Amino acid sequence: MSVNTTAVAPRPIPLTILGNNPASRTYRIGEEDHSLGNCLRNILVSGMEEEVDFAGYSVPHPSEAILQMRVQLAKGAKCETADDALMESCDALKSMCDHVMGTVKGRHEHEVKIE
Amino acid sequence: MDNAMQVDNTASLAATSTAINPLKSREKGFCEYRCGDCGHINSLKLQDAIRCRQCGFRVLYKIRTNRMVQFEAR
Amino acid sequence: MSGMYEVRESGITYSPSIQNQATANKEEFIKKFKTNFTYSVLSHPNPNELVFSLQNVDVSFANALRRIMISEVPTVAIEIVYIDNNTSITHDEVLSHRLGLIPLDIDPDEFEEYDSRVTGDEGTNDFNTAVFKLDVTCGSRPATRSDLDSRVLEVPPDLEAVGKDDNVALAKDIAHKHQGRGKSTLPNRPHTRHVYARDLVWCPEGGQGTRLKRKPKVVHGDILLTKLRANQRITLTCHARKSTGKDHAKYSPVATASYRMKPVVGLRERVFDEDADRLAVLEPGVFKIVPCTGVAGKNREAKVHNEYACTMSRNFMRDPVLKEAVIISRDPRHFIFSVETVGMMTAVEVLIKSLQVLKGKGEKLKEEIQAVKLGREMGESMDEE
Repeated sequence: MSVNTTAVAPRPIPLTILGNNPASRTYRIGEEDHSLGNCLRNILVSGMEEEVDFAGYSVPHPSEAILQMRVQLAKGAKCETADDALMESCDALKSMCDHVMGTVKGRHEHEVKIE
Repeated sequence: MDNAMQVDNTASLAATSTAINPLKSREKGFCEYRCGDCGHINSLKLQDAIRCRQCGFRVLYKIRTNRMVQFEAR
Repeated sequence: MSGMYEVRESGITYSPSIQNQATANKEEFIKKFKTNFTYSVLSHPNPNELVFSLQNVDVSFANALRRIMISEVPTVAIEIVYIDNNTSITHDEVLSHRLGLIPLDIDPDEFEEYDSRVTGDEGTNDFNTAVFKLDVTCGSRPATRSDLDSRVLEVPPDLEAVGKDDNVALAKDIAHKHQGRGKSTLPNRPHTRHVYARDLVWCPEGGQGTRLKRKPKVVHGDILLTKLRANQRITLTCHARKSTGKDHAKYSPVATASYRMKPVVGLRERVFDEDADRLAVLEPGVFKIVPCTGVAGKNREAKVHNEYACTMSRNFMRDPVLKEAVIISRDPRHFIFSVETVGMMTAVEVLIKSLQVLKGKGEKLKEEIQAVKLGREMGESMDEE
């Protein structure tokens, strides 16, 4: 609480990708937390079993808005790189959200005004 | 966005009951105090006796500033 | 079923399912999800309260929705208060804090987020800020009968927001207070003026008067802000901005959003007569007593009737017979959500917006990865050259 001053938001943290092996990468994602991390991890582990050998996420410290994800591809995966696998999991998440949104909007047709 | 108009955030409403003696308070060295007993606004300067001019009460309160103060609503 | 959480006397034990529930790749996963997912509404008594269930989703998805509903759906609330005069008993910062917490009925889609990195007030314009003014003063004496009679039956327009319509006595009482007469009509009590949220007046800036379809106002006009004594005055201007619950809890659109996993109640052994009666009392609403034929000497038994009513109180475990007979567990793929909104959005809108936010997170990450990939490829091709 301050008088005659206003707070300034911290700078956003850009995405960094660590690791030289294209099939095993660690991603440091800024401004994200368990909401995205656990969702993607679950999709990678339980949804893309033949593509991904290992997937995990962590939030290194709660005071920093950083999400760390690690993806390791399985042998014989259709995805070429771990980046592709992670992007596919993002697609899957988007499809899930679209499907749920469509179902909810359909059920509440008369109430909903949002496009 | 180009049509955005600046929002006016300066004080546009004049102070009301506080500026009872506007002329005197604008002279340098005068400050306004409210009597604790009768509520009369007294203009005092340095070395003046600390007494209400109307009722003689000796406890005077400084009046809130006319300056606008900004707060974060947090 | 992807495993079961069996509820024991102290704690919960997880037993994984025998079948492998995982799918091979993205396409199969999406297909399986679309086939099995179910959304059903359990209770929707008014637009601001919704109890619904999601079936065949993972806990990570359900939890993400809950977290986003609470902290990442943007709303508009008062952020900056410019105080020109406050001679009331409430300190400036306390009054500002209270103003920030007042829910504002503003459509957040009609506003842009305020970028605080733009210095000072240059970033404030009519697309990202709503302005409210408060100018109240307490007269030096109570209003007399003649003052009141000319104005008392003029019911303030925001009574619709309060939700009362035909209650004339209440309308008179509110109009009473509105005119500056305090609560106390006893002698020797000082004359007071109560300041309510409805005293905030929206001041349209720039093009807002025509652009905004939903005119900004407060959701609940009857929130008491402070009380004024004779000759006290408050004059201030508020700037309302759009932000999320992550920034400050005042921006959260929900009173709260929570979920529980659906209880599964089963009977290992049949429960008859007095045992059944006791069971129906210990777990009210879950069991119903039905007449039983075919078993010698027993005339009624308990059957599971409504699993949703189970509160997991484990009361039946105090009874030695029932402890062995009844087993409760949780279904880890069935979530019962309860969403209650503050009032600036309906519960269904909050749910849909949270799905949009979650989708946006996936899109943003994908774009960021593609940008880094592109940057790396360009760097490599430049090295080759």
